[in-house]
Amino acid sequence: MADINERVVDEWTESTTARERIKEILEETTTYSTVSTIADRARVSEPTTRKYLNELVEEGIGTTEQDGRATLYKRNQGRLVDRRIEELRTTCSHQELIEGIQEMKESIAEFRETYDVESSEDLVIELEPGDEGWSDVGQWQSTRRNLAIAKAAIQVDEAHRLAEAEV
Amino acid sequence: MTDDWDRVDTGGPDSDLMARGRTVAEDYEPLVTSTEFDELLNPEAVHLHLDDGIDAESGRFDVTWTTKGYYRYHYTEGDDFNYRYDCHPRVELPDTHFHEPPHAAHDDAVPSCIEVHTVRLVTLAVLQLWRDTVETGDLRQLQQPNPP
Repeated sequence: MADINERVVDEWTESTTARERIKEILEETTTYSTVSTIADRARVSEPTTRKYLNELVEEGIGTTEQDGRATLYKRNQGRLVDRRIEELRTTCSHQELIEGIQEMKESIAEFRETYDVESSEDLVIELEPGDEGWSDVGQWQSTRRNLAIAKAAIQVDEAHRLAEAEV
Repeated sequence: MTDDWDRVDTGGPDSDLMARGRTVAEDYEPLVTSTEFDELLNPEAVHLHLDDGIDAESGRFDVTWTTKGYYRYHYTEGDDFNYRYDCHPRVELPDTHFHEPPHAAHDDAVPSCIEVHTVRLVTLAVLQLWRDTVETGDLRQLQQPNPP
């Protein structure tokens, strides 16, 4: 039987176009990456990858950064935040958002108390490699981002309701 | 998080990557009967419920992806049967490693057979290995083609 990795790669490449694969990889690329890294992951040649990446950046799906002569690409975080705000606004009740915000505020207060620092950035400075607590750095950052998103969902929802009432 | 996720900054849970994994699982595996995030607004994992099992009648994957692209696919049929495919830095083991059934304990880890890295491919591989094991009842199928 073929290796499991070959099996899933074959299935993927047979059922998708090069552009679909590049889009999928770009949408999952969380840190700035070279064309060759993305091309390898998408199983597409570098010139084709570069062409489609530039189209996808035009469409707002990716963002770029210059590193000397090389252009680096990653997913457009801002677009994901906007989508998430809209998703929460339309699927969660006001009550759910309020309760979630309360819980996230409590989690952040607990991080501050546990490590006796003000922010996740301060915790990074505080920790030595191999120390316990590194997973809380990411957890803290995600909680802070999700808190801001939930607050924004309430604000945007209110703006929509007010605009609706004016008509 | 458990295990030695605690040794370095692996990034926080990434709700978009987890949602992408959920979509792949729902599209691909008919035995995935329901899915949900552990928390609505600040999720740490997405649960994939399966209408079949290896030792039991049903099972569940708890899937986490982080902003730095690390992952955990923990399979459970309750306290008696667990295994886990992980990707995160670990001492004396590759980033991708497998915590063997039935306990998926810290010391049960061996190198993983999963070498692909994207959300779709890892999810497809994990589900395919699960399905092959359910169908054959042979636990060696969890580490195809050859246990390292």
